[in-house]
Amino acid sequence: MPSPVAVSAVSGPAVSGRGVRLADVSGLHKTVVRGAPPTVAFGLVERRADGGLALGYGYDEVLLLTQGAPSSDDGVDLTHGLTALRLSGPLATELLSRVCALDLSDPLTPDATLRRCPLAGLAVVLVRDDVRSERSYLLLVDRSYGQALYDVLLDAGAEFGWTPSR
Amino acid sequence: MTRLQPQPGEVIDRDRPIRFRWVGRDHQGYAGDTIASALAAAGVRVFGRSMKYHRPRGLLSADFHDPNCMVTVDGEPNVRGAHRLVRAGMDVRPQDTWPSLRFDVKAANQLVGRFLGPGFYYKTFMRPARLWPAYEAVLGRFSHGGHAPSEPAPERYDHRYVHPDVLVAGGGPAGMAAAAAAAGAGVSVLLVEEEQELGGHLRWGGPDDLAALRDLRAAMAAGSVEVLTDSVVTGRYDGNWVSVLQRAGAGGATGTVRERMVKARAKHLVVAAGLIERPYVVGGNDLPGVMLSTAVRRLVNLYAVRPGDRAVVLSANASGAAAADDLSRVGVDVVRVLDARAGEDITRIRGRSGVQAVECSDGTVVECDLVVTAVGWTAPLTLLTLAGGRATYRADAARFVATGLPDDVSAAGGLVGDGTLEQLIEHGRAVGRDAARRAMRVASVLAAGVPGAAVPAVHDGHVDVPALQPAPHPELFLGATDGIVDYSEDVSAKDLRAAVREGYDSIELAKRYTTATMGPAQGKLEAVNSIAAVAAATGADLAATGTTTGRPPYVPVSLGALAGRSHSLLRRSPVQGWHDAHGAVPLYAGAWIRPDHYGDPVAEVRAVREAVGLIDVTPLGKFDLRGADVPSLLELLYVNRWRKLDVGSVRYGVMCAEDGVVLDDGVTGRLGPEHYLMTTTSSGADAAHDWMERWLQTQRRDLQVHVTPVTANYASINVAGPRSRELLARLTSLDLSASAFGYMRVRTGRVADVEDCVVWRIGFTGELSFEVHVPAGYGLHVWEALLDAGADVGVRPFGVEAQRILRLEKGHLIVGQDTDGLTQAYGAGLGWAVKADKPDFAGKPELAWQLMREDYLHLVGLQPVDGTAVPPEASQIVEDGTRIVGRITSSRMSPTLGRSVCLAMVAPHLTAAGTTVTVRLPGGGSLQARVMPQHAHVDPEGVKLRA
Repeated sequence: MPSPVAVSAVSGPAVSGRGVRLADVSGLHKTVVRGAPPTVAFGLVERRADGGLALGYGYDEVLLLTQGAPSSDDGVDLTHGLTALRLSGPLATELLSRVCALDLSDPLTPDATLRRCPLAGLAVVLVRDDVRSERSYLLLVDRSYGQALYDVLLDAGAEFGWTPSR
Repeated sequence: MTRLQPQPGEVIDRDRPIRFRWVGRDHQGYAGDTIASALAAAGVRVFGRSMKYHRPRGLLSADFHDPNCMVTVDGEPNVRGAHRLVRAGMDVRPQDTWPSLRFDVKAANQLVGRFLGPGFYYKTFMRPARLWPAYEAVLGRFSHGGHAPSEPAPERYDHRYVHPDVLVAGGGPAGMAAAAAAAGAGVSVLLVEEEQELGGHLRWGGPDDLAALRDLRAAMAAGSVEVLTDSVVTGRYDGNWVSVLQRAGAGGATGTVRERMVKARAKHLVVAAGLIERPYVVGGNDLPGVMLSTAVRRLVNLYAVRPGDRAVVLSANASGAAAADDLSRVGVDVVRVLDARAGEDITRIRGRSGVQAVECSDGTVVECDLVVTAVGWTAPLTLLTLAGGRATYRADAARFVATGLPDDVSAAGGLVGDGTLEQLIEHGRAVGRDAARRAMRVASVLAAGVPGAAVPAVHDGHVDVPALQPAPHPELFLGATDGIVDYSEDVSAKDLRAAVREGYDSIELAKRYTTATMGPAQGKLEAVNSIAAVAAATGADLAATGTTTGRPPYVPVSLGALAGRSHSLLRRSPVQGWHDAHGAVPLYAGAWIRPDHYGDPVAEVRAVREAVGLIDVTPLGKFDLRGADVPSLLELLYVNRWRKLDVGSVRYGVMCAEDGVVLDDGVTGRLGPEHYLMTTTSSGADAAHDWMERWLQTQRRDLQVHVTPVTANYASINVAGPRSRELLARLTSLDLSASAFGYMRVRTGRVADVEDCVVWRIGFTGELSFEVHVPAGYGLHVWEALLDAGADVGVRPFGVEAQRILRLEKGHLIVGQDTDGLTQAYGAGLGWAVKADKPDFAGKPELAWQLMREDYLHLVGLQPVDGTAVPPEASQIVEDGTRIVGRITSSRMSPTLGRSVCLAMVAPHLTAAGTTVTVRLPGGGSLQARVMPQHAHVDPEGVKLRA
C-alpha cells in the first residue's frame, strides 16, 4: 500500500487567517449506510463514543465519519469519493457567508447539525461540528470538486489574510 | 468658498491633509472630506455639466443624492463626488465635457434648446430608418455618464449572505433608536446607513443634536448591532429578501472589497430612511450657488466649508431658519430671508456660470452668490411601496406617506411623521421593540421546520407605538418661472408641460416621455416636483395624479457588485494535475476538465493500436448498486436482459427513455450476489442517476435497491492495446490470461499495491483492454506506476481525441454524438440489444412501434470514396441535389487505415452496404461516400478485442 495515504483531492496546504483556519481532512473514513428508518435523522449529527460522527445524510442514509476503517462491512465506502475540509475559527461563519446563503446562526444551525446547501454553486454537505467550543464546520463535497471548493474558500477568505499553517 | 475655523461637529481631521488631483491640478483636503467638500473649500464651484444643455452645475444637496457632482475617479465613472471621501493621490475628473469643464463645446446645445424638447430623439431620428446606424454613432458621443474603464478594477466585488432578525434601513436618530431597542430585546440586528457615519441630520445639527448623537452612538456601541455605514438598502423583495449595497468607504470594514452585495433575509424590516429635502422649481434653480438648506448645513457643520459670501434664503420650515443661522454664525452675509409661509417667494434666479442675483416676489432684486431653499421634504417611500405599501398624498403636509404595510415591515421616524427629537427617538425605540417581537414570531416558525434548530419562545406581548403625524407644511413645488425639475436628465417644468400637452398626461407616461426621474438620482429629489408639474399641467391635484412606480434598485448598483465573484467550478480527476504537468491540451467536457491530447493524437492512436496506451476515464459515471432487486431494476432501465448475469461478468446495456430514445449506454458488472457496479457515459451520469431514482422513488418503490453515485470514488484508467495484458500483469496478482479473464469479465483485486481495485475487461477502443477503477486517492499512484512499468513496452498516455478516433475506427457509437434527441434504439443500430419479449422495460411500447414503422434514420458506417477527404461532422447527406436524407455524425482521418472514416445517419433506403451517398460540404461542394457492411472500420470481427 502506498504511503502516506493519499486521499486528498486538494493540492494546497492547510491555511490560517484572521479568525479562520482551513484544513483538508479527507483522510477521514466515510461510509454511507442506507436503510429506513435511519439511525440518525436527516439533518442531525450524532457524536459516537469512538470519536466518530454519524451524520443524518439523507432521509434513509447515515454517513459515518471515522478515523479508522469502520468495524462493519455494511455500507458503501466513500472515503475516496468525498473531499472533507474543516473550516474552523470564530470567523468561520463570516467567511462562509460570502459563499453560502444558509442561515448558520446558532438558533437555526446549532452544533451537531447537517445541512445540504449550494456553496458558491457547489453541492456541499455542511456539518457544524464545533471542537472544544470553537465554531467549526466540516464541508463534504464530491471529490472531483474538492479542489474547486478549496479554491472557493481561499478566494472567499482572501480578506482574512491566509497564510500556510504550521 | 473657503475653509472655516473648526466647527463643533466637523468630521474632517485637520491633522491629516490629503492631496489629490482635480482636472489635472493638485488640491488638498482633509481626511473625512468628500471630494466635493474638499474642492468647495478650495473655491471650486462648478463640478460638472448638465446632461442635455451642458449648463454648469454646482453642489445642490451635498450628499449621496447630489445629481450635479458625478465625477470619474481613477478611471471609475459615475462616482458621486459629494459622497466619496478623498483619498491620497486620487485623480478626479469631470465627466462628459469637452474640451474642458470651464469651456464645454456642447454647451452650444443651449442655443438650440428650444428644439431639444421632450421626444426630440424619438421624433427626429425615426426616419429614414436606414440612417439609424449613423444617428446612433453621433448620439453615442452625446451620451452622459462617463466611460466604462477598459481595465478591470484592482479591488474585488463580492457577495455576502446575512440573516438578521431585524434589518433597519437608515441610521438617523429613529433608526439608531430602533436598532438599539431591537437588539436590547435579544434579537440580531443589522443597521444600514447610507452616509459614512451614523446620525442622520443630527450630525450637522446644533449642540443639542450633537449631544443626542453621542448618546445614541454610545447605546449602539453597547449593544450587539451590526452596523454597515456607506451602505444602502437597494431593494426589498418577497419574503423580506433585502439587498444591501455595501461600499468600501474610508474606514469601512470591507478591506480590499470595493463593493459588496449583501443579501439579507430579514425577519423584519424597519425603514427609517428619514426625509430628503426637495429643490424648488424656479427659473435659474440649477445655477451653481443654488443649494438646499441641508446642503448648506452639511457644508458648514460637517466640513467647515463656507458656501458663499452673500446669501438669500427662501424658507418654509425650520431647516431654512437653521441654515440661515448657521450661515450668519460663520460670517456669511445673509442679505435676505424670504418666508414662504408668509407668501414671500423667489421668482427667478439670475446668473451665468453661477448665482449673481435673485428676483423676489415683491419686485426687488437682491445681489448674492448663494441661494438657499427650504421648501419641503420628500419621504423616500420606495422600500415601503416595494413591500406592498401605498403612497398616499397628504396635502396638509405637502408630502406622501405610506399606508398598508405588511406585518414584516415597519416605518420609523421622520419617514412617518414629524416631532421633536425626543419624539422621533421614542418612536424609533417603540418600532424597534415591536420589530423584535414580530421577528421572534417569524423565527419560531422558521426554526420549527429545520432539523435540530432551537425553536425560540414567543412572547405575544403588545408594543404601543406612539403616533407620529407629518407637520403642516405649505405646498411649494413650482415657482413663478420655469426651472429644472430633474437635474440628472435636464428636464424642466416646461418639458413636462409640453409632454402633457402632447397627450402624455399620466405621470407614468410623462415620466417615460421626458425621462424625468429616470436619471441617476432616480426620483429622490425630483419625483414629487415632477408629479406637481404634471398636476399643474393637467389641472388635477397631486393625490389624483399619483406617483410613479418605484422599482429596485433604490440607487444604481455596479455590475461588479451584482456579479460578485467568478469561480471556476471544474471537476478534476485525481490525475488531472499530472495531465497539466505533461502538456495535455485541456478539453472542457461538461463540468470536467480532461486531457484532449498530449500534442500528437495520431501518435497516441498508433501507440494503442501497436503497443499500449493509458487514458484517464475517471469522468465515466459510476454507480454502486446493492440489493436483492438490482436485476429487476436493470431489466427495467435497460432494453436488454440482466437476470442471468453471473458474478464476475460484465454486460453492455442500452438505456432508453419512455419514448424509446437512447438515453445512455454503458457496462455493468456484477461484483457479488447483490452487488453491482454500473457505468454510464460521462455526460449522462447525472441524468442516469435521476432516471434510476425516479423509478425507485415513484413507480417501483417496491424494489429493494440502493443506488450510490461513486463516480469520484474511483480513478478510472483504461489500459488499451495489444500489450495491455503484459503491462497490467506486471502490477497485479490477478490472472489476466484470456482463459482466466475473458472478454466482458470483471475482477476485484490489488493493482500496484492498491487494494480494492475493480478491473474489467472491456474495449471501447477495439483493442484488448482492461479498465481499472482505483480508489481515487491512489489514482495518480497507479497511473504513474503503469507508465513506469510500461516504459519498455511503449506505453504512452492518450487523450479524448485519440479515444474518439479509436472508437470510430471500431464503429462504437457515442450517445449524444451519433444519436440525438430523436434517435430510438433501432435507429442507432442497437436493435440487437432490444429484447422485445421481456415483460417490461422503459421505452418498450415505443420501440415496438418503431420496429413496425422502419421509416427512421439508421446509423451506418460510411467511408468517403476519396479517402483523403474528411467531411465535417453534421454535414448533410443529400439526394437529388437538395433533399436531405441523412447527416455525418462522426468523422475522422483514420491513422490505422490511412483514410477517412465516418458514422452517419441515413434514410432507410440508403442502408444497404455499397450504397453511394452524396455528402454536401459546408463550403458548397460535395463528396461521394460508400455505406459499409457494418459500423466497424477496423477489426469488424472483434479478434483484437477478444484476444
